Amino acid sequence: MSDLNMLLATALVGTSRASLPVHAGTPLADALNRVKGDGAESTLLARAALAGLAARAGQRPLPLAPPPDPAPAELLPEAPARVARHLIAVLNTPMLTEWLGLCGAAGWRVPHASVPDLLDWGAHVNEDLRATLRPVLGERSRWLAGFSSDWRWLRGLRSGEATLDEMEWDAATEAGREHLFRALRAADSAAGRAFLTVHFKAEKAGVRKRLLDVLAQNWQAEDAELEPLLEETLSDRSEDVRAQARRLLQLWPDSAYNLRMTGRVGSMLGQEKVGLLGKLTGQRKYTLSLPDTPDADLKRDGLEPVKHPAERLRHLLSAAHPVTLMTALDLTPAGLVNLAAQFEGVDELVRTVFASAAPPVQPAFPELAELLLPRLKGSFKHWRADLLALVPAQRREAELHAALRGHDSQLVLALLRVLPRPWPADLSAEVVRQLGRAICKAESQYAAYDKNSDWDPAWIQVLELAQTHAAPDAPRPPPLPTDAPDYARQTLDTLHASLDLRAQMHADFAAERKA
Amino acid sequence: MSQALTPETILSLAADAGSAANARKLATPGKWPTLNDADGVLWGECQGSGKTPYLTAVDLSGPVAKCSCPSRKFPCKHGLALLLLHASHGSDFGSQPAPESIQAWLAGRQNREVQKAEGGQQKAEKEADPAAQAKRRAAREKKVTAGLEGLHLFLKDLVRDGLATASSRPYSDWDTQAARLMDAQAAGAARRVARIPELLGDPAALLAHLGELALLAEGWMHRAGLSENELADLRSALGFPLDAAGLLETEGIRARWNVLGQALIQEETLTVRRQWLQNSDQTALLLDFAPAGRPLPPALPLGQSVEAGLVFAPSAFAQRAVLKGEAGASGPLTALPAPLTLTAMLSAHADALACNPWLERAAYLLGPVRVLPGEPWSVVDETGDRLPLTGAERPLLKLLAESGGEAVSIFGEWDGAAFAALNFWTGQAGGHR
Repeated sequence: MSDLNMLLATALVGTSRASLPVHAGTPLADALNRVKGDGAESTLLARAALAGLAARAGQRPLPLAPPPDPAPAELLPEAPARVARHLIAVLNTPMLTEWLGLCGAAGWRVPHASVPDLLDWGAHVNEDLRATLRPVLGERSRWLAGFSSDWRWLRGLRSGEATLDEMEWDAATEAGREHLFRALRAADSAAGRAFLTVHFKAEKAGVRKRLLDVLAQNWQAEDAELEPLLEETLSDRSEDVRAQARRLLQLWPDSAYNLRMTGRVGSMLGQEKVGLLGKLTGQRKYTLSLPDTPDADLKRDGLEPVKHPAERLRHLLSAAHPVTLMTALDLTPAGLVNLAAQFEGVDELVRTVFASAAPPVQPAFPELAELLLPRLKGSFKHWRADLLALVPAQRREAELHAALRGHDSQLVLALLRVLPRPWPADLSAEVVRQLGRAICKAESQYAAYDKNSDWDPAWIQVLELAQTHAAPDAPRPPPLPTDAPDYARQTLDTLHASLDLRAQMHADFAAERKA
Repeated sequence: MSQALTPETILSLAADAGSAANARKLATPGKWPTLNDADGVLWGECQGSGKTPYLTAVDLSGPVAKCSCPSRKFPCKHGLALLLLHASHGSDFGSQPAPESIQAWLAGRQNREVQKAEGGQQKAEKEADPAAQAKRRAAREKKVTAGLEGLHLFLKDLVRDGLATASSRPYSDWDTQAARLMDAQAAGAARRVARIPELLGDPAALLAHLGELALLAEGWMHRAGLSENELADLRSALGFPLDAAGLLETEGIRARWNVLGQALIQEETLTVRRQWLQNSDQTALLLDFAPAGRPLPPALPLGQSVEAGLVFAPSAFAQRAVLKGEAGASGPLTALPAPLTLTAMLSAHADALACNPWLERAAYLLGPVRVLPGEPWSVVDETGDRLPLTGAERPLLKLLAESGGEAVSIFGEWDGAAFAALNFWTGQAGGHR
């Protein structure tokens, strides 16, 4: 027993009940026995002080443990100091992804000192942003990620090596399983599909829905392999899961689901006779009737019984792939739009165009979108920008310039959102100029909520977008007059500072790549 | 000299984490219409919330900053951002001479040293009233004696009744005893009593702690037999304040001090900063305190060396020191001491405890060592010896990121139970990270 424990045995019961121990056989025994105070209590306390101090001073190292294997050698060169200096300024700002993209394109990795900050950032952002980070992290980061649970997102995700840890899967919550599947799919989409085929049916409804959501967020042509599973899922117990399965099957023009849908449309349609003029102009007029034969798959495919044939047609228009419809009914895009218009189904057609616009976008879509644009009405006018995202780029830019000239901030914002960065120089210059025009009288951020102000919440979002998406070297408008409100001047100064920083960043990357 | 400042060093000068974060945001040339480096004095204009931009200057020899912004932090975010910009975008700085207000500030700084010396002398004369001082000291000592006698009685009662019953005592027992010691102006003893409740679950640690408290009380009763330095250690452990003014009247050691480590501790009502300086075989501890939410005095540049005069507080193991005047020009680190193995550090610490049994912590340079992740993390030397590490995991992960698991030299604090890493160097100690 150690000296301190011997003293403790007495101290626990108290000196009124136990006598002081006699120390023997320890290096401190003699010294302790010599300590005498004015009474048992003082002696015990003084000896405890000595034994405690000796324990503190005589601390021994812990038993041997092997240090971790050192980090493997890096395969990529480190980003040069000239470009790495920007990292501290753009960290945790929206400009970081641009820096990461430039670094990845140059084939460099981030300096080791920045790795923990970037791994932290990766832990808090979505998979798309992580995809910009992964290529520049290097071997050191993958090694380091093994030492912190916060950085698990980076582990085991190298292409071709992706596997799901069954134990981790079993222990995960619904959200955790979604995360694991998303990571697996990002690393190896084939492994993701194989996993789904085996595990999908055994999961709870909440998880099944989440797994299908992950598929829907980045649908790939190869996912058509999952058709048998998705067909089976049309009979799932959960309506949420069934609905998501239908949406996924709709994305693939050749799916049996789409063929069933278009078959139904075909069986409902008849053609009215048209006059000579109609024949000459290629017009068709349709009649509608509900088929007499019962349809066993109706409920599985999400269709409810209806009284009016037009109601059924509208539902079918919103649930079938437009390309499958055109092929099956031998219709041009204009013919399809006319059919929809005849039975007040344009809104449904718009909806179905968006629902099936997953890549690869079908060649007929630009024409279809162009034809639908003038037919948008009511609340569907909000979808104008989304439809414009499908038309050829030139047409879209012309629309954007027109919206800028017309000060239509909502449409400008919606169109800019779908424009990849960096924006063309002339467009960037025009956006910055219009921002200056809109903000020049704003006294504070609250001006955006004033009905009489040119500055509105949409412009604020355009400004935020311009910081990261505008071409940094685009010509700048002259500064605001000196009597402009401080808020306006500072807001524009901040925008210009961001653009300057990005311009410098691009110049430094270009110079170093040349070197 | 100035080129050697790394972003970490610059951000270590920040009065708090908020200043550091804001400085990083401001450190882009676009926010600074004017940037100049005029013979070691950086100055620039930064657009703030008003019409007139703030005029900010940094004298790199300190580095010491001045700014026209209303912040009460020194240095403010603008000063830090100017330094960060100089480190990352040095080529963007022009060489225009500083405006008049900055020139006046620089001249004022140069004159201040002289004025301080003269003023210091007058102040010393004004305060010197030995009779009154002795009377005050005697009154305080009387209060401390009464307080510690009470403490000793309390401790004896505890071990007479048995520690097994200690945990059933109401918390007010400990609080009352701590409050009595505060009233008796023995804050150090009060702080130790206030720690008792957290040790109730570990009887061995509790007994050692009570022994340490008893030693304080007994030591005070027998103080007549102590040497001057030993008495100073006892007084410091009891919470007697350091006579900084008296210390500053003494000569001190003027030398180039390496600033090796900085620890910032946020307590409930207090921010404590420990800065560790080293010159040849001497290690000095500069302690600064500020009420929570208020800025600390400007820090010395971490990982740099500064020309400074230090006066060590009397102690059998001299460690605590005060800065005499302002620190002078900063520069790269000078030669570091030979790093220690873990056994050598434990041995050195045992020697230190033999001199001052109340020593709470001391700082050492360890190397070559590796860090070992785990619960807790540990530090391992070449012989395979291992000691636990304490403190946040994040700085250790940063250490691993930069060292890649290779051996490093680590500077940090050892408190007898765990090592807190404060700074590290990859490769040979004395080289830079």
